[in-house]
Amino acid sequence: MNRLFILFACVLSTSSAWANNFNVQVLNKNGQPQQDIVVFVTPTGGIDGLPINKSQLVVDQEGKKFAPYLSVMQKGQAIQFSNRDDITHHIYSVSGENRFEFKLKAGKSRTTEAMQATEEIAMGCNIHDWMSGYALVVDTPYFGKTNQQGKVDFMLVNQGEYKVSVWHPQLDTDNHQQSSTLVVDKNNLSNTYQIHLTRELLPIPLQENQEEFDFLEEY
Amino acid sequence: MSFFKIRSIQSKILSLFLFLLLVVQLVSFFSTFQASKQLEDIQLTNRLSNAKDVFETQFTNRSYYLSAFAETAAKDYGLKSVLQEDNKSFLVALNNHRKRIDSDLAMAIDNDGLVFAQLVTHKTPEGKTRVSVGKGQGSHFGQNRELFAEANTQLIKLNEHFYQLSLAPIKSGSRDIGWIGFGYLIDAELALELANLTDVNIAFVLNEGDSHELIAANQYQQLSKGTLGISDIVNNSNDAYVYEEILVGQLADANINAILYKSKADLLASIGVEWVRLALLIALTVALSVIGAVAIARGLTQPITQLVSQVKLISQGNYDKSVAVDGSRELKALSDEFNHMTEAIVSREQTISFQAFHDSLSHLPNRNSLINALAKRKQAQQDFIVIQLCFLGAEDIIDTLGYHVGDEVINEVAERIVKTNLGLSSFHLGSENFVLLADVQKVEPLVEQLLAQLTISCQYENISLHLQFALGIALSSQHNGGDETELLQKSNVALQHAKKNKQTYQVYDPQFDQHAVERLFLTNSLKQAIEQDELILFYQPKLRLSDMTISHVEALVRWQHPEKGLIPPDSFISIAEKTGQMDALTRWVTQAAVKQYVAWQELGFDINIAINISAANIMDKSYPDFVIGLKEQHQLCDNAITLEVTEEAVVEDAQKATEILCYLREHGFKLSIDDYGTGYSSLAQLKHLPVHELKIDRSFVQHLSTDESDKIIVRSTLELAHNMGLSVVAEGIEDETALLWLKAQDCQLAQGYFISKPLPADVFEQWIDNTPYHISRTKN
Repeated sequence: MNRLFILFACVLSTSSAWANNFNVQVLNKNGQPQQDIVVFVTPTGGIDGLPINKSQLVVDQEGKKFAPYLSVMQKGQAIQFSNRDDITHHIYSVSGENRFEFKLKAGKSRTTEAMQATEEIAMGCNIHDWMSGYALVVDTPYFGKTNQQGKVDFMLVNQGEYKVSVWHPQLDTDNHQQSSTLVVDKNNLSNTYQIHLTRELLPIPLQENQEEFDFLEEY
Repeated sequence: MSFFKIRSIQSKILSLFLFLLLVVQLVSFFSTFQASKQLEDIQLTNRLSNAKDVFETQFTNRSYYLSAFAETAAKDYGLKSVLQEDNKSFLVALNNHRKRIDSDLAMAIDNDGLVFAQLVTHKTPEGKTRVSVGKGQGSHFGQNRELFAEANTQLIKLNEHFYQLSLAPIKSGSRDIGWIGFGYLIDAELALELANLTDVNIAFVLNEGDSHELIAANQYQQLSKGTLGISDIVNNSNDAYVYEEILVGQLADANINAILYKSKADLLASIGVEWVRLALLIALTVALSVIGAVAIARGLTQPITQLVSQVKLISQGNYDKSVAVDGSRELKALSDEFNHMTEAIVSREQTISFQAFHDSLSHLPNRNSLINALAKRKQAQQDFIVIQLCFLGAEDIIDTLGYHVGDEVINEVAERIVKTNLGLSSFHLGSENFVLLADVQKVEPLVEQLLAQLTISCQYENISLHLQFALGIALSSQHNGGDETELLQKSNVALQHAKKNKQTYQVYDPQFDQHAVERLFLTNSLKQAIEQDELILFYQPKLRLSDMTISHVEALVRWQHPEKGLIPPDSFISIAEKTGQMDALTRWVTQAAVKQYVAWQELGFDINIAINISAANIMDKSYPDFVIGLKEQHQLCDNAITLEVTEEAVVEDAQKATEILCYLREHGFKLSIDDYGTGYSSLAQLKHLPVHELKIDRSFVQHLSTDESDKIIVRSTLELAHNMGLSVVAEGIEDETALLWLKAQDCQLAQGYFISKPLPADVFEQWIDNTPYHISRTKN
């Protein structure tokens, strides 16, 4: 089936004009569209010559939660943390290469150093134990999070072979990712590429204090 | 059973007390024993379950302590921040934590299971604790980390040591980035510490199947050297140990158990002391109770013994002794009752002795007193007079005036006797009989004075009674032969004689006694005489005057006494009549006569035998049936036997006599009225009597030849008899004149000494040979 599809795509690329709009839809194990899951598309031939996605990743601390819970960024970019709560947070990441830690007083913002390791950053707050957040550092400018329909659009510069990956901290695979490779040309470009999650998404840890301390509500 | 026949009260009480005591002691001992046994069991189980509780609490606490600390350490940012720094920095940080809980093991594991930090403690020979990097650092952690998420701690084996280990995840946000763990060594030190806390011995063993591998114990030396095996404790072969096995963890397929054990002897050592105390207590109680029982038994029986000895005196007749005991109220009451009883006995004895020696009616001395008085007089060898006195007509007085008047008369007489001033001792023998004793003097004046004082008429209920007295007198100087009662008897004989002869008084005459004694003797031996054929029959022939032939005889009974010789019928017939032996006598006579008749018939003599029967024989049919039976038995012809019955016998109950005589006549007996003329039979009676013959009494015949009036009587009697169709027998013929006169008067039969006196059968047979008269002979 796959071979037939590729053959069909090749026929298309030769016959029609190139349009760079690439649609991906992520469906969960039950076939339902999956929202808020990171999809990134990496050209197998490398990213040389492609523009760097310099969009500033901002992670807020609001209501003693990381917002957004998960985010994605291109390698070499930094994360800006903005404390929108009225209390101090002590934000850290202690694993891997992309380690950082700092205290962030109420209403202040701080930007980390540029992240150089393409890996998952698991963040926490040393004061608020339950707070957790994730950021993924990818080596491609094509990344995004699915919308309500489980869809995300990419404007690809070139046709060619791509590795399409999805990531979610709770995706129950080894590195919480699931990848596939395909050739994108003008024949299949207009089609929506569907990814079926082979594993379940584990529940996201509850982002609130699980102790029965009344006083914490006020901090 | 003889064991229970204990005789004295003291020993009874004692044995009862001891028995009860023994029962009580046994029961209490048994219940104490049971309670102690239960207590032992409870103590054993309690001690063990307490030990188990303490152990589990301790072990759980350690586990909780470890896990809580591991969790705290895992969240420590200082440690977290140096996690990915250089290893030495991390180890130092890790050791800082380890020191805080003095754990024997601290380690950190990354997500791949690689142990990247491991610190273990070990003891130096000096006893100091050193920390070094464990051999496991750099290698993989063998245990499944997931197990730690479920339980606080797990047991692991590391470098040949066993640890109680707790692991906690190190998180970056929610992401696990590694594990940190702390552990305590399971060693002898722990076992000792827990043993001290639980007060039982503790051994940690690794159980793989049935094998027990000793890990650590507070008694490691004993257990490992083999003096005591874990299996000995667990199998509990000689019931010497109690134990509890607690699962503390698992290692692969093997269980790690803690065995809590203790020897029973150690546990029960404290109870053993109680037994000695109990035994001492029981012994003391028994001893005290025995003393108490003895004291009580003594206290109870001592007054009783006292009573017994005092009552013994009373029973011997010492009535003047009174009984007193110093015992309980009840015994005092008993002794009082004894005293009352003694008094009652004394008074009763007095009454009885008075009654024994005095007449209850007149209160004069009675026969017992009389005998005593006679004995005394005899002993004093004084001569004296015994006067037996009775007043006549006592029965008449009672019959007409009643007993109370009779009693009054007796009292009156007694009073008068007492009042006579003649120096008499008076005694009352009962009813109308009194005895007076007087000193020797002339009898006649004494009696006259006495009667003069006694014979006064007295008045009862308007009836004047003139009392008459009879006296029998015996003199000791003349009549005293045998014992003291003999005089009494003799005076009585004299009295009876006086009464009989209606004399006022009679002095005893030895002759009275002789008759009386003889009579008594005959009375006693008559029965024997009848039974032993001492009686014989004499036969007096009767002459038939018409042809001068001996045709009849009268059988007359004689008593051939072996000692006294021949006794005439006058002496014993009346005795037989009075003693009811008449029937037996008549039957004997009848039997003998019939036998003789049959004998004579065989000799060829046809002689009718007449038998005298008495009034008793014709009162009912028993004698008639007897004689009829005899007649039938010997097949006698009619008129072979004549039955002579006196006129008096017929007169008594004429109707009955007539009936019986008719009965006899019907059966072929010849009937004759004996002694005719002496009785009072009326001619009217004679008319109805079914007799054949009259026998004129000898008193009319004896003097027939000389007395004219007798002749008239006999002639008219003959005439009367003949006119009534009766034949006549005249008895008592003593001369020929009378015989011839009678023959001339047509008298049928004659009997008397002139013909022959009564003869024994053999003599009679000889007489027949020599007699001038004809003999009636049998026809063939």
